[in-house]
Amino acid sequence: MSSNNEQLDKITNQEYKYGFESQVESDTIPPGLDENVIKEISRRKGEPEFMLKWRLNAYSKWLTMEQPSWAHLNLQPIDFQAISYFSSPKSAKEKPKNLDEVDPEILDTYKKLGIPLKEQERLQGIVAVDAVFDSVSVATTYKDKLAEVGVIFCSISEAMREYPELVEKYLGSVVPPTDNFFASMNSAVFTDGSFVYVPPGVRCPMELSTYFRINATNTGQFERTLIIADEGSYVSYLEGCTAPQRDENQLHAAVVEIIAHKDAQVKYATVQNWYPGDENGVGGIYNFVTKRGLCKGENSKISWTQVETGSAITWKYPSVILKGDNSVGTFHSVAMTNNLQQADTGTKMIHLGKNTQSTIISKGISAGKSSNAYRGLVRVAKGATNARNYSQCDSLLIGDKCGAHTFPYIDVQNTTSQVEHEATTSKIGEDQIFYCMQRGLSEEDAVSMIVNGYCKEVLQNLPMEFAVEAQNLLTLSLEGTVG
Amino acid sequence: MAIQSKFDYKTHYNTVFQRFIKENHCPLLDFRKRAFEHFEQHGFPNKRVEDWRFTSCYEIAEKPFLCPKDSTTLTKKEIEPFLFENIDTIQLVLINGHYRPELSTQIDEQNISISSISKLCEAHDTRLEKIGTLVSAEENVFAALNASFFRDGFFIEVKQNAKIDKPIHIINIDADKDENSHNAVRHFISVAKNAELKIVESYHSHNSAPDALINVACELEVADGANVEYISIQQADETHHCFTNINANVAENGQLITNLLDFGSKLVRHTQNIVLDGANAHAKSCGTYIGHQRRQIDHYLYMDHAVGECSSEQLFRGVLTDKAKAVFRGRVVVRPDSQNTDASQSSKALLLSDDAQSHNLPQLEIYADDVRCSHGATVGELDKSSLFYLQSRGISEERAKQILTVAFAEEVVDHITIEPVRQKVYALIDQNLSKDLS
Repeated sequence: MSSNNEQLDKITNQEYKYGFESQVESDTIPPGLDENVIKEISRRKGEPEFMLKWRLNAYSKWLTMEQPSWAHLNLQPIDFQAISYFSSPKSAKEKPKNLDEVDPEILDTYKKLGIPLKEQERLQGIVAVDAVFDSVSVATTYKDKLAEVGVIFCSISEAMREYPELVEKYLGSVVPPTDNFFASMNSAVFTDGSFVYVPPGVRCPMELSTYFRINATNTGQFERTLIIADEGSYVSYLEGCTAPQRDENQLHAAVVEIIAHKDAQVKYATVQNWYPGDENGVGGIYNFVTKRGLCKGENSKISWTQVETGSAITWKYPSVILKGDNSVGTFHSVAMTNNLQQADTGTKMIHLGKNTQSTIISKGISAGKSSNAYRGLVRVAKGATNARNYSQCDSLLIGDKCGAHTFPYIDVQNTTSQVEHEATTSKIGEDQIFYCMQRGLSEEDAVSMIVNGYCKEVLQNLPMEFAVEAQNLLTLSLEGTVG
Repeated sequence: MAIQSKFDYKTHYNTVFQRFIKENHCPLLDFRKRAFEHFEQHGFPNKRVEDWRFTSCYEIAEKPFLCPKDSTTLTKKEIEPFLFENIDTIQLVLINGHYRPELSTQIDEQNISISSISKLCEAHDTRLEKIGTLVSAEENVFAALNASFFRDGFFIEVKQNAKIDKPIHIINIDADKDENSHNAVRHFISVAKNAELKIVESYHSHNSAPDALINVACELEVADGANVEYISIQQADETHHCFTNINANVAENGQLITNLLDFGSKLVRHTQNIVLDGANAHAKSCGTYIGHQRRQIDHYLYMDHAVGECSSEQLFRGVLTDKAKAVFRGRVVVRPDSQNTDASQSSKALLLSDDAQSHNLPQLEIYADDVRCSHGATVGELDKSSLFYLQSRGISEERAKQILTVAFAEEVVDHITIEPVRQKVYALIDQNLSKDLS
């Protein structure tokens, strides 16, 4: 089937369209990691004393840890001393007071990425954006409007200065500094990220969003996001990421913590499109992320939705700890890998409270020579009576050189719970394509339609603006991959 | 990643090993030495090793296990309860890991050759080279210990096109009155082209001292078009530990059914590695277990689709009560270019008590695109609508629960093709469940 091979070639030759590099003068700490670097980061950010202590404590713990090797990944050793742990655009030294003062080059970068920071743009009134450029947050839109209802949405550095009591109370309460190798490292060196606090009973009037961009060379991005939804509140949050095209691997080790109090609901969506490396697997981002939500109060609800198309290596498991009775956790994921990309992703649902429920829908699509693994844990503790879990993970293989793996862990410790796991692996059926073509669709459109249908369950959980982007991303990555 | 115990087990096993090889000169010496080296290097794994996260070897590492003496024997009458009724089998009896010809069936057939491995050793038989080709000593710590210390077992060969009507019944009896008995046996079963063989291996205890370690390695070679059924029924004493490594290689058009049934021992761990090595090979791996008290039953299965056009099934059912615990890790690997693979996996555990635990890890590792793989795992209580259905027809709740639990446990047993063996297993299930359901 030579036409298929041609089409496969076409996709491998496809360029990463966010691979440009912006000419922004940046202020970067020289590579290397020791206590002084951490003190310097803390000093530059003007952090309160407790933060420095917290960071140093995490650093000393990190020194005793070893990089884990259990993931189904082929990973080159990382030289942690060759990474620069802080980089900020020079112009951001004096924090701009409003958008007009932001470096036009940076605004331009975001414009190229399709993320309008100017408030009057087409997403007016719908989405508030926090833009993180390398290590610092450069702009947060719609702050005033959010403040009217009491929602705090700002960079985490700002939160540490303005609301230290909230940060001290919640930071590290879901992902402790000793949690794992990369979380520990993040705790020591994290530079910025977003902070959200929604007061009791408030329904956040707009979608909140962060856009992460790695620009400088040899830097790692270590951001930390903290979302707190107080009693009876609601917030929907989305996150997007891109990086320029480079030959060396860059490290991105982030931590996201979510706390949902009684009756609160948090929706967290990610469209991850870091630079995946070229067709020979050169370059790309190492995306090692710890994301965890805590359903602290009764009837709370946390949902993760992710569309993972970028990064050379993705290693992340957005999890939910269902501590409150009747709490609900959901995880919807589409992970698409191509060329030599590797993904080991999934979720953890830890049922502690009574009548807790969780749903896991994971859709993996592998093409080229990529490898895509689902790894998930469903744990039902002894006291979690009447817990209910449903997991479904499907893999779709496009081409015969790729791999799809499923590693579910199901630990059940009581009798009244019901845990179900189902998984299938398949390719797009020739009969399905034939059926579509018979009705006048081209082969490519047929594949695109089938794949989008395959992912529909997940995509429909994304906020509307992202759903369109995600669909386009998938269609783009899938062009010509008729198998 | 090895256990550091108060008891210096490495020195202990070294002394035992040196004595053992002095007493047992045989062509397998190099093989044993390599295996023991592996054990000395790695020791007993601790819980930080991913494969041993749920299985603790601490208790075993703390005990000075020794090879059992070979003087023990039993009378024909004493072994009678271990035999199947209403069926004529080729009986092969091992007591404390030693072959007992006087209790076994002596056959004189052209189609099949059965020899005890200790005999082959005495004769320096060249066939011994095959030992270790399918269960390598490096596979895990118990495979290494088995290779170092096994005394006997059977080398069974079925000739081309032979259909062996009588099933072989290997009866392992552990009757060691001394404590810390390490009962290691090993078989190599080779079934040639288009031949057929049914084999049942059962484990029993007879007035043995508690806490014995039963360690079995079984290598199954299924040639082109051959058809093999292997059933293991484990009823050892409630205080024993039982570890098995059952590996198989299935060639083109070959068929293998394995069935692991566990009703005894406090810690059972089966490791099974089946390689489908030729087109149209088929393997079915089944198992049923019932756990009481603090019993733990682990299955670590590996179904390797090395070539395309093969099919495999894994079917496991378990009932757990009290503080019993079960681990099921079934991995299906589909190698690159193994197209047209059809693999399915189903593991279900029924928990009858709030202290029972089940860990289910149904894993798929797939490197080819034209495959059909599915796995399903459920853990939980009895289906409420089925209970309601039975109750609505006038059956008491208790009775309905009994019916459904027994039906659940027996689902996989139906795959046993030898009728009298199946009946025996049904009886064992009833007997084991009756304590919990009455």
